[in-house]
Amino acid sequence: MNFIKKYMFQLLIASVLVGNMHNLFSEEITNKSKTNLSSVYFELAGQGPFFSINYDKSYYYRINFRGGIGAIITPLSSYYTFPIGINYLVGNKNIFETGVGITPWLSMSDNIKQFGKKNNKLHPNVWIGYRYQNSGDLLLKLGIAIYAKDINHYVVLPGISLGVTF
Amino acid sequence: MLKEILKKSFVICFILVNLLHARPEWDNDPDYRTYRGYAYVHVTDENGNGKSGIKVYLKMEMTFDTDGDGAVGDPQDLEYRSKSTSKFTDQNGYTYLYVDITVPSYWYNGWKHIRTWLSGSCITVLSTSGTFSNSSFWIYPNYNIIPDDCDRDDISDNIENQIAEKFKPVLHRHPNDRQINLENIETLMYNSGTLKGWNYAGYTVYNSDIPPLHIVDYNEAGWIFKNSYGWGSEMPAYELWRIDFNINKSTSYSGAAVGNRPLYYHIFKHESNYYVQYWYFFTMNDIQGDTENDTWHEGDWEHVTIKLNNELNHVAVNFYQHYGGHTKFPAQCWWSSSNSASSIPSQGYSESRTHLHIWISKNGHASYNKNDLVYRMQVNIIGLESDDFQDQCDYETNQSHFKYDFLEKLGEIEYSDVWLGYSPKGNSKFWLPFIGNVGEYWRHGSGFATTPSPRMPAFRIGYYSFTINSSITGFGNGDASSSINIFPPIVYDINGNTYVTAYPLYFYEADISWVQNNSGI
Repeated sequence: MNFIKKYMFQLLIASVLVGNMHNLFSEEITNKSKTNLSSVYFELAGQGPFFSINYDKSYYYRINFRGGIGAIITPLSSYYTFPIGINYLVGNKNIFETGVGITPWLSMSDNIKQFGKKNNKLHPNVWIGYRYQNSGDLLLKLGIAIYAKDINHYVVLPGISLGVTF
Repeated sequence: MLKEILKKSFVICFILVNLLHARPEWDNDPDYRTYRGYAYVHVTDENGNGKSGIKVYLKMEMTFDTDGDGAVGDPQDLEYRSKSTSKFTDQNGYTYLYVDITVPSYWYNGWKHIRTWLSGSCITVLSTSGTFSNSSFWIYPNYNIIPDDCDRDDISDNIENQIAEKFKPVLHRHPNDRQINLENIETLMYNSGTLKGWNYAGYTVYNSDIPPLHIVDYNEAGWIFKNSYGWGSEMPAYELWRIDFNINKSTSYSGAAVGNRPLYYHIFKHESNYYVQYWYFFTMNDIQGDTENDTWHEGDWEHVTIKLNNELNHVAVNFYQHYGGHTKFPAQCWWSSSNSASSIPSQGYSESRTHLHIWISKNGHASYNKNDLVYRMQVNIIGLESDDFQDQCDYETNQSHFKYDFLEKLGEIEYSDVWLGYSPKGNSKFWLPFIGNVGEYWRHGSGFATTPSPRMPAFRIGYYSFTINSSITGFGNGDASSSINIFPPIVYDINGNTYVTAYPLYFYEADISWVQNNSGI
């Protein structure tokens, strides 16, 4: 509850922005035979959060679900990542996209020969960004992923995605 | 007067003609001709002293026209003859050899070739002169050799042995290190080693117990497509070969049995300096509990290098630590009069204290001087996760040691453009040219390897460096060259305090620092 009070103003601004975005990005759907579009794309940073290959499906240009697989490689800790999320879409070709996601980090350390242990992580996040999407065309996404490390510590990670929509 | 001169000239000419063309006693059969080839050989060692007991061969080959028409080259009338012999050099390094070829007197001599060579698997020939002739029956060969160079590195084995014995170190062990003893790689390979290979598509194409370690397969066209000692078209990268030690957690740390614990060494010369490296092999590098995700790998080659000048006095010591290291001067290092575990080290070198003391860090097995700064790596992943590893060397001296029972020379390798692979030179260790990784390693299945198991010492290119921009390549003598593949890149500083580390990735920070940890209390 304290959290909501503390960030009441920011939440209000955000909700207003999201509400207005619907008008800002709304376009009449024309010449579309499909209203449910699938996309495959490579994402650099963002919800990945290093790099990931993703699939998502948009329904009626209003909502989409995403899932992907990525990796984090460092000399010490390294992980497979599985970004998943649900987004609200505003617009049809030039789209404002926002949503929530969660990215499990599965340790790459393996237990073969009884060595090593796994130290898995779970990182919830919020995504806000621009999305260009057109059936049979390129997919482009630009935005930021906001990770909450704890109540007072946020990490903002820009992301860019490129793929195809079909 | 003129008459007298002509008379004397005639007598002189008569004597000369008879001297030059008179047939010697071993060629006085009117029906046969005997051709004798001579060699007067002198063999000296690398110091210019005559070398006795060296076996020298002489061979003479000749062709003849057998119909006596003088038309040498007619295949129907061509005969080939050869003879060879051998003798040992005397105490001054000299020997005299000859061979005779006897043929019918009407045979006409055509082509001839006479040559000498030395016999001995441990001889390295530094220079030669006059070892053959196509025109004369007399040759005077000179050989300058290293007579006892079984690994063919242009350094006498005797000198190598003296150097290795003189500086052989004392290895201090962290009392809580999981590894109990040094490992013997040959024993480990034979008892539990499996050679595995993958093609570039990731499929297993070889999986069999060792021996053999050296696998070469040719396709129908005669191309090498598998080669564990070099390049193969199906397996074009060294990462596609690996020795997998079939050990488990309960047996992996004991190391070799007492009596079977080697300390490997490698000595090479570069420009005017000698370098002696002591290599020690551990079964495991297992730092579980020291990091978030427990990096580990089987097979752990570590080493120090002592740099010597041309008079075999040492100049510097390089302590190797995780892709980098510290360089120290002799006055900074700790030495003792023997390599026994009970020996008490003192700082500063003297001719009565020649045995280097090395403090090995816990489980990671980096090599340190006493009171050295120790390696620390801190990883920060976009502010969400972090990891931290630091060498632990803060143990009291002489609590525990990695003892060894004997010195074992690694030798050298050489590359063949024809063979497209490496071979051990002379009597060098047969496993030294193996190109793959030595041991299984964490994350191997993922395909992302930043801390894989090591390669054989012969391929640890760049670790001989004592100064920035050193260009030493190959295993000692420049015969084996390879691209430098060091990750992360760390630059040595002769002063021992400045290190440069660069990671080419952007989403995390990995800072390497060298922190005070009271190594070797």
